[in-house]
Amino acid sequence: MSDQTHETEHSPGTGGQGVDPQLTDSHVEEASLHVEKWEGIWIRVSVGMTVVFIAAITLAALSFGISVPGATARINPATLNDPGSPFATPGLRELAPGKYEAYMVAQTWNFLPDKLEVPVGAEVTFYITARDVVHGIKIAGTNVNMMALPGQVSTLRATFDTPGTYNYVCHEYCGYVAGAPIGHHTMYGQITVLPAASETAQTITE
Amino acid sequence: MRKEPDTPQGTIVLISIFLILILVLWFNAYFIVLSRGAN
Repeated sequence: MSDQTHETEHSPGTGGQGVDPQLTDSHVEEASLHVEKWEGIWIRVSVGMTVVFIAAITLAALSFGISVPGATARINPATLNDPGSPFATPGLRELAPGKYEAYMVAQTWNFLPDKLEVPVGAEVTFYITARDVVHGIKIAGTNVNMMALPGQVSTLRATFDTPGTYNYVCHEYCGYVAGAPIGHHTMYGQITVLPAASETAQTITE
Repeated sequence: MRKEPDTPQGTIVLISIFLILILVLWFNAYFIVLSRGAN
């Protein structure tokens, strides 16, 4: 760079190329990074909240065992009724005192089974798949909320510590029959949690 | 001399309400999930 050019860019009164003579490269950089006070506070609070939320979710997953639904296996929907398939006789099975597994099939437009009974305190592991189209299941009052997909077995576990009824519904729209009172909205079931006096668990499959 | 901008008090109030609401609702859902136990 020649001396003449240098003078044109940085000396006052030259009437050069419209460049602010007081503005050096470092000034330009500082100006572009300037953040207003309240804008900076808002950015810090937003980032802080995100960090707290992620930390809380990580804590819940690692310390309290809260997990997302898992895909335990794949299964051909055409073989659900084959002998040996656990879904051929959907329902509740007692593994040990107080521990159960429930094999469930979602299909248009009901659940198999649509009624379950367990004693209070029962720990139930749910395995669910779909026979035809995409369904979902949400058991109200529990953390069980997962998709039921043809070809996949989804699983979650819940412990029923309070006697009463727990309704479950399909939460993935799966169609209806025009003009008939049947469809996605009629796809539901109910779990009855019996008080401590009832020791046997039974499944009513309809 | 450059004048400092006025403090946007109304915006601060609204954002504070928004933040408190988000935190209360988020942790309400979070503790409900925790209270239902592990799965």
